[in-house]
Amino acid sequence: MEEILQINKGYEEKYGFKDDVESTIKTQKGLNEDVIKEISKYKKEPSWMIEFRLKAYGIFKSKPMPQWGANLNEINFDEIIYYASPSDKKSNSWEDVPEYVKKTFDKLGIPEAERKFLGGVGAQYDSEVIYHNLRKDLEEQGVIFTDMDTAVQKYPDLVKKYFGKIIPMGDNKFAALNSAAWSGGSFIYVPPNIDVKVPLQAYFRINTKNFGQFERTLIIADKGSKVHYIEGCTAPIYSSDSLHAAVVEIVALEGSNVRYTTIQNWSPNVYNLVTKRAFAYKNATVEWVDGNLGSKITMKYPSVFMMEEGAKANILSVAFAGKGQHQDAGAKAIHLAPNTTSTITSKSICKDGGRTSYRGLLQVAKGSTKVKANVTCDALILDEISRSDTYPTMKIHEQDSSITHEANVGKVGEDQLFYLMCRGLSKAEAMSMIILGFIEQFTKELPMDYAIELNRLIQLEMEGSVG
Amino acid sequence: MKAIQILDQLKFPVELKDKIKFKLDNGFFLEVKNNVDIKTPLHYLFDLNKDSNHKNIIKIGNNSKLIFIDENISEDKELDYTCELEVILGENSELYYLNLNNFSDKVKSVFLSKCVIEKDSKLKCFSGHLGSGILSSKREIILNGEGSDGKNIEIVFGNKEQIFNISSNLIHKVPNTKGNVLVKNVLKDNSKMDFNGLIRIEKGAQKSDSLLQDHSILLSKNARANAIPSLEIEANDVRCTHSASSGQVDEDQIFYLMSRGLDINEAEKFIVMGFLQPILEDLNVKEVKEKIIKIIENKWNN
Repeated sequence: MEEILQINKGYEEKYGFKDDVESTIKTQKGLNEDVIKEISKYKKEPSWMIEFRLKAYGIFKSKPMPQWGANLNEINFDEIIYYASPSDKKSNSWEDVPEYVKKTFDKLGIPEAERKFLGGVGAQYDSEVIYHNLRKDLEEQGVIFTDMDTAVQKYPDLVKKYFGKIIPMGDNKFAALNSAAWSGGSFIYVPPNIDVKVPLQAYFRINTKNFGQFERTLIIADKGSKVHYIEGCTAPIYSSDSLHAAVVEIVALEGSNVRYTTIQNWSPNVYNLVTKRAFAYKNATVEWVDGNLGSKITMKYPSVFMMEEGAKANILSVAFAGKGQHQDAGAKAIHLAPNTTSTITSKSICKDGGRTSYRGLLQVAKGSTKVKANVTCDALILDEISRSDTYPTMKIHEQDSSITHEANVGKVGEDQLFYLMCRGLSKAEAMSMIILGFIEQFTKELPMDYAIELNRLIQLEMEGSVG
Repeated sequence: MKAIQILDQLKFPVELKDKIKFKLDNGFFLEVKNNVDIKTPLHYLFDLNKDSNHKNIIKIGNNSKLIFIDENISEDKELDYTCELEVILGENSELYYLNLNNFSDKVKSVFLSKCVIEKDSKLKCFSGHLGSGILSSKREIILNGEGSDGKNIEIVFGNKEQIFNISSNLIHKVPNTKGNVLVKNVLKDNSKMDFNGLIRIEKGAQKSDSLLQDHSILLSKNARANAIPSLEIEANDVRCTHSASSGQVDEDQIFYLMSRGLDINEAEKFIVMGFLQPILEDLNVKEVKEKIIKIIENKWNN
């Protein structure tokens, strides 16, 4: 605790540094058909992918900017660089990674994490995944963990079957943008009955100014398999805004178990507009663990469609909004089959004028009998100028279901603070301890190293809030 | 204590004439002057017989008290009705407003109400949405003075093809205010309902205490309920909670009652009435309670 409280470095020093290196390959600002063709040509993509991209671009242009949530009107699509690559080759050993990129990831502690507790690592720098490695034993079992671009070339059948099927390109404006300009992201396939005991991880880093990162992740868990995937994100602090619009698709086939953990810590100049969706088939379980700490505006609602009987969804989301931040996060559980179960737990903390919103959907389709669903959302508001909203939607079209929703909004209990301060803690320490207790459920779910990192980040954000 | 029927000023009991003003003109205007405490509830029965568009106003002065029953019935034919209600509650006053909607199923009705409560005043609104084929109701309670207390309680009992759209907003503008919204719905046959609730605590409205609840029982395969109980909170020293649920009648409870000799229909009704009981008990106006129970029984049997 003492050590954590000593951290005074802040984001700028820890994650906010930038590499002053020009990208090897970079498209002009703005997006048009030529830029898309250029990206596709550089990637030597098959013709179906070019058609896919161009069709998505048409949808992106035709869709209006969504007005129902956070304010996105300041995004200027013409000022954004849609593709930048630090290197023209991918590697699976650190030695081949360009020096400055290596330094970046070293600073972020990625190789160390890989050695300690990960089964595989992917590292994306701007548009391209520059490093990818999977433990040999997992590779021998038939597990595929690679970047999306390679997967399009190497596993066209699997990719064609699921790519853009979970989240169609026309789902929303930013899914369309991603479908048109996507680059990088992870592709994971776990063969039947394989239990990947150690987590796989991808780290996303934006370095270029005014950049748009559009990674595309597809996870396929075959029958009876089990996998845990972790993503982490950071970026340098610039005065102008960057955009991160990812699409994450998960297919959890019969009896499989997929957990997807996000530690989103973008710099406060990044718009984070991500579409995440999973299809859970018979008796499959999908768990989203979603931590939103950074970014200027986040709009992200991880969803699980329970397609067949016995599917389960567990969504755990924690959001932290500091000065100038709006975390519009939430979850969606859509029950399309009988005997399906979902739990949504959301916890948010706002301070210094930050705003957290929980926006969720719980839908029970007709015929989905014996559904059990529970939503709990708690919010802490640490000062007078911050704001917290809750917008939970429930659409219940089946009589034979049991749905509950509860929420609490409060401030840190004076009594609890007083109690801890009586025992010799400073006000700041006491406050941190209460907050950590409040989000314990979330950190418990994470592998050790990352729990510490998340705790530290929360400590970091807490700094200066009291005393 | 039997309620006093009011139709116009002329028929008022003598002792109320100086204290209350009541006028009918495309809706009603009701004014209760300062320092008036009317112990007996006033009952206004409105019979809809042609398409109408009404504006109702209830204005209560300072230090006054009133219980007002607004009962709506209609002829059994296709009619449209819109009604806008404005409630202005002075300082340190109390108003208990009960609205009982028992229109025919052929009526389409829209209710919009806006209530502003000043310092130390108490408002309790109750709506029993039982009639109308399509009913849309939107109520907004604005807590405008410190120490004010606003309560909105609504029940929906839908059967056949009835459609309900219920909105309830509660806005805390100043510190030290109390709010409570409770909506309970029972839906039979093909009836459907949407609930949109919002509690907003504005900047500086510290020490607000607020609760938003929406609970539904679906009694048939085709009944539907949607709910959005939202919160927008811009102050940190507040207590604000919401809860919502939706379910069917509990099979164990049904079994228990049936083993005691009730048939399934009676057992279900018993449980549904138990679900509504806390609200009905809290009504405190016997004749309204009895009327609601009678209407629900009628609807149950059809």
